[in-house]
Amino acid sequence: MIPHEHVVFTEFDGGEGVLVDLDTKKYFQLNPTATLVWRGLVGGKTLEEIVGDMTAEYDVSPEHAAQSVQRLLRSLENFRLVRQG
Amino acid sequence: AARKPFVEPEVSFPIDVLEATT
Repeated sequence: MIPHEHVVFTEFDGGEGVLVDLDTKKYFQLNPTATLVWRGLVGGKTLEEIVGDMTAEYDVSPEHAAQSVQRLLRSLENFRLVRQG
Repeated sequence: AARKPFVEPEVSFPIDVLEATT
């Protein structure tokens, strides 16, 4: 999964982030863990690498983190914020 | 190092930029 070209990302000090879709003129708020995932996508990381980042920073098992990341990716895809790489 | 409590990653529903700007 890679971010769409028409999506702009801004991160705030508290770890939260905002995505703006320049095509639809809509924006989306990301909580800190979703922001971590988005940063990974921008950096071209694999699902496994993103899960590794998640488990290193947060108290969560790799299995749980993988399920959570995949669920978020489905939401991002439904909103047309990411596409298959 | 202590790890932070985990919160499920979430993306909000879309918010119209024009409404927010107004």
